[in-house]
Amino acid sequence: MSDLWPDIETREIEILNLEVIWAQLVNGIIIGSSYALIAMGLTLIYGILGVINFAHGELVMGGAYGGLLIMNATNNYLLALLGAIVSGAILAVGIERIAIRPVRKGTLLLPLITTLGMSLILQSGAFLIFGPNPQAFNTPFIEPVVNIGFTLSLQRILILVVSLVLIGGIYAAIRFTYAGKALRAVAQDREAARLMGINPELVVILTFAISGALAGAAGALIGPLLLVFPTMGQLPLLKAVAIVVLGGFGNIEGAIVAALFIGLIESFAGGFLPNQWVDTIIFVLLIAVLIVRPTGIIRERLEENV
Amino acid sequence: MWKFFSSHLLPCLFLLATLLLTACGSDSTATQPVGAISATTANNSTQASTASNSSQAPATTAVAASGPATTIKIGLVSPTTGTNALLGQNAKYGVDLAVKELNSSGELGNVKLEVAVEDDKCSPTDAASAIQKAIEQDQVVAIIGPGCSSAVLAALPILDQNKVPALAYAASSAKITESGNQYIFRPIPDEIMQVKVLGDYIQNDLKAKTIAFVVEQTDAGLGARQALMQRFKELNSNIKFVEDIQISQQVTDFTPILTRLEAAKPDAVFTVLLLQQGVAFVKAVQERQLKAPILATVAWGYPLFEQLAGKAADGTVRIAFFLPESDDPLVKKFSTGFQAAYGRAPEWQSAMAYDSTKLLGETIKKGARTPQQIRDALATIKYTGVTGLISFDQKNNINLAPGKLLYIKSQDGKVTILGKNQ
Repeated sequence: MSDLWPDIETREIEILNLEVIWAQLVNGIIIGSSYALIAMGLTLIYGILGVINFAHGELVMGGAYGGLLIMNATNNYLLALLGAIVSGAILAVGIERIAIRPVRKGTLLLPLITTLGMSLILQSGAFLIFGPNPQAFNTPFIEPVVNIGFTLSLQRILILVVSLVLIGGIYAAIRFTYAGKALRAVAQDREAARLMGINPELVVILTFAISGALAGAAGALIGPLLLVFPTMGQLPLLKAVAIVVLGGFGNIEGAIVAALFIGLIESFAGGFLPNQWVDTIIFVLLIAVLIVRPTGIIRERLEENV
Repeated sequence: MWKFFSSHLLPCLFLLATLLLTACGSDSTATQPVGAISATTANNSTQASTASNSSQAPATTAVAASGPATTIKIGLVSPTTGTNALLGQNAKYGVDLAVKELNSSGELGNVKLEVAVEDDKCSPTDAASAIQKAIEQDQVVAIIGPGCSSAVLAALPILDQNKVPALAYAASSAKITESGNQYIFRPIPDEIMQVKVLGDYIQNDLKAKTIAFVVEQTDAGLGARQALMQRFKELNSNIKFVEDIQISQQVTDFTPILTRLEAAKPDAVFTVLLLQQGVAFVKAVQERQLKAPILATVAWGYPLFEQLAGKAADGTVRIAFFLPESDDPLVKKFSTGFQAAYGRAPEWQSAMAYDSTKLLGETIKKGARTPQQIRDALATIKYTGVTGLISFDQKNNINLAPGKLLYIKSQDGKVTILGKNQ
């Protein structure tokens, strides 16, 4: 700070201030929960297909725009959230049909390229339809604030609550329902699952729908806090990939833990260190984890991944 | 058989549709604006051509009246895509409107203007190749752009090499005109002029004892920060810098930064941020109920910022040198035409791009045809546009007239002028 004007006084902030730590902690958990929504879908798809969907960020963007359109039409945020979930799911299934299904017989490199292409197409599509103008997504939860030692808007609390509900719901479904079992079966061994009478194609579609639904919900939850614009999905995608790597490819518990971890790092590092360090720290960690524990920070149970 | 088709047909149709869409959607020449302007083109062109054929105006002030129609190509280098795409769109609208008017009014005689658009993505590397392409492939004689300061600085050597003049219609970095490059012109007030007004306001009106910086890590952001520190030094201010936050243009979540600001308790916060980031920032400020007044450069523009930020914009103070609702008849005409053509009020970037195009038109009227002639004509030009009187000093920096720089305060979606530069 004083590098330019050594004679001008600067004041050091007390870093170990309890208020500051509390605020960063809560914020980290909230950011982490929204990342978990996004990353969970990505890791589910990897578990089923062995493929990273590089158009996943656009599912977040599509959900945000879908929610925005419905909000503008009906002024009902609940409907907008549902709309975002539905549009995310539809968009995801569309991506599967167009970019993944035709190339599934080839090498695993092909879906990487085709989903990247879909990402560009969707971004340009949003650009053409909605224009480069960022748009504000106003909900009745943005303005009211609660004070828990620092003030935060109800929208943030909503993010936490909805994330918990959705993630908990999907997690329970995967653990305890027949469809969930089918999903885990296909993730373990596709051909064996087919022999057991499960249709892997349907399971793939279901998985994409879930991933799109979660990402779309995330878009409609964080969109109001920022702005909605065509390239808003790019940064979440990067973070989600980092989370999937840290948590273990295809590992749901890992994704949730890694998401919270990254959220907390972003919050604390962003709060206490010069901002340019945050991304560096995250990706250095990524490299370190890949070297030391390639299967992710959660110990992988050998019998199943999902 | 059906399986083959069903799994491949849909993607093929989709790709075909995408190709067709992009082919139809893109163009590199001036677009057709709807509304009042095009309705009058037919009348104006016939009147103008008869007038120019019969006049024997002296060569120094009029365009060559006889001879075959010539086309002059100018380049618009701006961020068409990327985080700053809004700036690019604003610029394109302003340039297109000006070109339409110049071509239809006949004031350029038998010269027709054409615009080639290149994308600089607000990045130095893309700007360099965009400028190169505009000069070599599109063969432009003058350039409006690049947009961001970093992009302009990267383009300077190329302009010098090829001896093509450019008008940096949106770049505030002082380094641009300090560089000594004779081919770049800057028609907007630079960061030193802007922060002088803000610095005086912070020191004398707000009487702030502590200040925090939240700036983007670009030439524009860091330059303005340095200029403000310099201004405080000139004012012999005892102000203390309690926070110095520099972020990338990709940051969207300002909560950790707000936590730091809360702890630092500044009397004022000076920002240099893109429009999107500015909106996210003031929204976070409102959420955390930070009481310090937020100050900004022209980067946020008006009125889009108020529309996007809503109540969060209340109380912010920023610099402006163009307000679309001004009483000036030139501004009124421009704003009405812009609204009719594009359905919204013009931001200052559109006004500046518009005036820059009109400046080039003026040089053409004076008989300039080659890049060097245009450059020389720009150096001595005096023109009153929608952004006021434009003339350049020896460093090709704008001569700032008193009263041109305003600082405005936002409240309930509107702005009031707090003061002007002396």
